Amino acid sequence: MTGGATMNGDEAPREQEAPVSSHGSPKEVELTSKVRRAAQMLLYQRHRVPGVKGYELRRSLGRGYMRVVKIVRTELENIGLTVKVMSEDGSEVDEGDEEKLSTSRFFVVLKDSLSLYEASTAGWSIDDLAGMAVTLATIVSRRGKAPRREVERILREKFPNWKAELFVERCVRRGYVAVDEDNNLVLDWRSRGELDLQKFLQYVLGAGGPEASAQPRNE
Amino acid sequence: MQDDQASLEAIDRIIGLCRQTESGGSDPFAVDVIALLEKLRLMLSEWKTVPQLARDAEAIYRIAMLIKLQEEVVKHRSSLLYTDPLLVELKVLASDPGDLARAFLRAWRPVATLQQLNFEQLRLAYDYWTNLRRLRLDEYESRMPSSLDLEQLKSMGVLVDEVQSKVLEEMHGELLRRSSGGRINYWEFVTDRDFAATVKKAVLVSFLVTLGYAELEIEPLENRIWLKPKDVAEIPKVAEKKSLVVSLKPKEAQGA
Repeated sequence: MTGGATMNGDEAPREQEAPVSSHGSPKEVELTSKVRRAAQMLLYQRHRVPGVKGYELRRSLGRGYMRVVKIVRTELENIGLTVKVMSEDGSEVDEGDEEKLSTSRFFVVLKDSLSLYEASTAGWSIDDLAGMAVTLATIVSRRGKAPRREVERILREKFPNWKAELFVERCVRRGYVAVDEDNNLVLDWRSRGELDLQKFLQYVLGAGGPEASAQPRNE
Repeated sequence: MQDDQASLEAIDRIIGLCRQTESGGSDPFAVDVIALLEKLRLMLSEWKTVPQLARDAEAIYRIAMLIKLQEEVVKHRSSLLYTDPLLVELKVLASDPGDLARAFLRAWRPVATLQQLNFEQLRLAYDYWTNLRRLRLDEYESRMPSSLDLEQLKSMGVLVDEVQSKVLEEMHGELLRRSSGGRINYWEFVTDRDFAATVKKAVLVSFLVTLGYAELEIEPLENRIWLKPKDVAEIPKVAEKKSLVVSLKPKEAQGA
């Protein structure tokens, strides 16, 4: 989760970096160093939007940066995370398309879904999550854009007035939703990066059914 | 005349309807595009002036944008993402918050980031710090704070001899005189004895125009700029605000 993880910061600086294994050829040592650097670039939030662009990775790791990213992905998958690549327009990217990769954003997401218990221990209440679900489902079903008053009207049917406005504000602040010049709510980068929109609508439509309560962990 | 007014109002209604549909997110197929185009076609013969034709062109543009929106809707409906908004709304209203939260969690893979200072950032910060220009306090230690007189301020360029508004008034007077009630070529007016004087005059002219003492008329095809002074400073309320960049080169400024 954003800002949830911590680190002691006791690694050695890059110049004194030791390889994971002290043995190995110079090439292996260099690769290990690149993997560490890539993991750091992917995980540490340096700008407002997390992750790094393909060209930033190429500049730091060289032309074969995708090979390094794949190694990082394999390592991260062991601890329940994965590297996601998203194009500028929010669509998934073919990892063989170098030109598109260059402008795409690389970031780390959870590999599997969270349970209600895990989400609540991370600070998300059921109402928070339901509010996000209502807001995003309304926007996605209306071609990715819905008038703010319309979204708030639907939220008010389920929550008190103050909460309805708060949910929309939170979605905007957290980067899930943006507000355009006509006061419409539109999907922002985080919705496209963190949600499988097609599955999300299916799950909303099937909410409360027997399949929904089964909640698979690895979809 | 009244017919013209009524037709213009009809065009404004068409533009308004298209804009509302575009920004409001309502169904673009609810608008009868063919009827609107037919209406515009019938009115076209009545238009004679440029503003009327411009309004007609804007209406056509808005209708074209509406058709584009209709195309997007068709594409969206045929995509896998399409679900009837009403159906989603009904489902959302009928569902329990817990079920909605679970549905959200199933499709949600939150971003994992670390927000902490690391060695790379420390290295960048150190580079920044060491490259900062050093403030030499010892240079100032021997001097105590003191007051400066007007002559010293003038020599430092903080004060000038002439009052700026007075200079502007003089420049306005010169412009009125040289344009003799009409307009004058911009370059003819601003070009002075040397480059520095020309730059100074160009800056003052820009002040005159900004404050409404003069107007700039631009003929882009002939690449000419005209200056038209006004007796009394006035900025029209509906004026379009624009910035104009004029490049001055020493040779041109002297030779023009």
